[in-house]
Amino acid sequence: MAAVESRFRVMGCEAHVVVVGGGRSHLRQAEAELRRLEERWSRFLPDSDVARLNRGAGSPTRVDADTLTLVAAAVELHRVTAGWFDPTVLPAVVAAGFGASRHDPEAVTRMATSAVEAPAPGCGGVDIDVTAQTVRLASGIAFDPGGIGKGLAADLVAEKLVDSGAAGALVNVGGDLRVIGSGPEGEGWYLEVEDPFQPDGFVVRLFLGDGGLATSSRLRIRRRGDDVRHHLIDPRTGRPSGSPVVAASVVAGTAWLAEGYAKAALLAGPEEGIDLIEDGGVAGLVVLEDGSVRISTRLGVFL
Amino acid sequence: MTDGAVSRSEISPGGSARRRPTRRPKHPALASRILAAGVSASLTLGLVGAMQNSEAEAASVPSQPEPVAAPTKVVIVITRPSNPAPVAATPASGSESASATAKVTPPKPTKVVPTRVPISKSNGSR
Repeated sequence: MAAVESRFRVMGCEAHVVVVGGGRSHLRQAEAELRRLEERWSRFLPDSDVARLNRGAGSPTRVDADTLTLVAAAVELHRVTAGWFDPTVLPAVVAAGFGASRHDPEAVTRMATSAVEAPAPGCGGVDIDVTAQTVRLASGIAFDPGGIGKGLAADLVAEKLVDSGAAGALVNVGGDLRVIGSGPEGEGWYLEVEDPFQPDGFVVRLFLGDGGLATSSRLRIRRRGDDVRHHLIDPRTGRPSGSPVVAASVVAGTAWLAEGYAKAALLAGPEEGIDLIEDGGVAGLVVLEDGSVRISTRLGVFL
Repeated sequence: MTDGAVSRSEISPGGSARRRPTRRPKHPALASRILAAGVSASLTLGLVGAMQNSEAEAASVPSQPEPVAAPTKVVIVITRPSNPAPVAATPASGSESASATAKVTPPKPTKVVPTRVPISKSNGSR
C-alpha cells in the first residue's frame, strides 16, 4: 500500500511521520496536531498548560483534556515503575543545568518552587479532577512530563490519523514512536533501536504490528567546566544518575508507556531495570557502558 | 572490541540465586489502575477512553502468562562499530509466551527488509 512520509522539527527534536493509505493532508494534520500538543506541554512556553501548572502550584489549574491524560499517565507510570519514573523531579533537572531550552536559551522553565538538588517528592501531591478539568499540584511540587510527552503525542496523533481514514501510521517524535494499523508492506513496521555508541548503526531491528517503542539515553549532557552532567536525574537523590546503563529501549502497547519504562529501566540499572521491564509485562533492552546489551525475555517475539 | 569481530551471545545463569522482587499484578483494569494511582475518583470516561489503548498488553504486543520460574536472561555482546549484533535470544520460537525455560535459539538472520520501506529509528532524543 502506498505510503507518504515527512520529517520536521517539533518538541525540540525531529519528528518522522509515515502514513499508509492516506495522503499529504494526513501529514499536515499530524504536524499541526504535534505543534498543538507542544504548545500545551512545553515547560519552556509560558502559556503552556505545564508552565501554568508549575506557576500555579498550590491551586487548581484548568488544563486541556489531553493534558489531563498526560498527567494521569505520568502518575500511573510513577506507580508501576516503583517511583523510578517520577514527573516531580523537575526542580532537580533545573538545578542540574537543564532549565532552559537547548534551542532558545531565553526560553526557561518557570515554576513556583526553587531549583534544588534534592530527592523528588513523588506524586502524592498531584490531584486530578476530570469533572472540573483541573490539576492541582501541592506547594513545592513541579511537574515535568519528560519524554512521555513525546510518547503520548505520538500515540494521540497516530490514533487520530487512523480515525481520519489512514490505513496505518507511524509517528516518531524524537525516538519515541507509535505504529498502528497497516505498514507499508501490509503486515507491520520495521523499526530500529539506535546504537548509542554509533548513531548510524542499530542495536536491534524490530518488527512490530501495533504498539510503541521508545528509548531513553543519557547522551544529552551539559558541561560546566570539568563538571559533565546529563539530564536523567535519579529521583531518589536529585542528582544525575550514576547508572551504568547508557540507553534503554522498551516496546509496549503505547509509546508513552514505553518511554516511561525505558527511563525507569535506565535509572534503575541493569538488574532492576530488566526486572521492571519483565514485571511490567513489556519488552525491552538495556545497553551498558561496556557495550554489552541485556534483553528481556519478551523482546524476542519482535526480532 | 574490534572492527568486524563476530558478535556472540551468552546466557547468564538462569534462575540464579539473585532475588527477584515479588511480582506486581500486571496492569489491572484501567479504572482501578487510575484509582490506585491516587488520581481523583472523579476521573471520568473521557480520560479512560483516551487511555484505553495504552495497555501494555495491546493487541500486537503479545500478552504473556506469568512465568513459573525466573526467566533466563541473555547477555548479548555487540560488535562496534561495524555490524550490529544478530540478536539470537528469543522465547521458544513461534511462541508468544515467555516459557519457564526461555530457550535460546540459534541466531536467526535479520529479517530482510524490503527496499523502499520507510524504517524509523528509536533513540534517546538529543
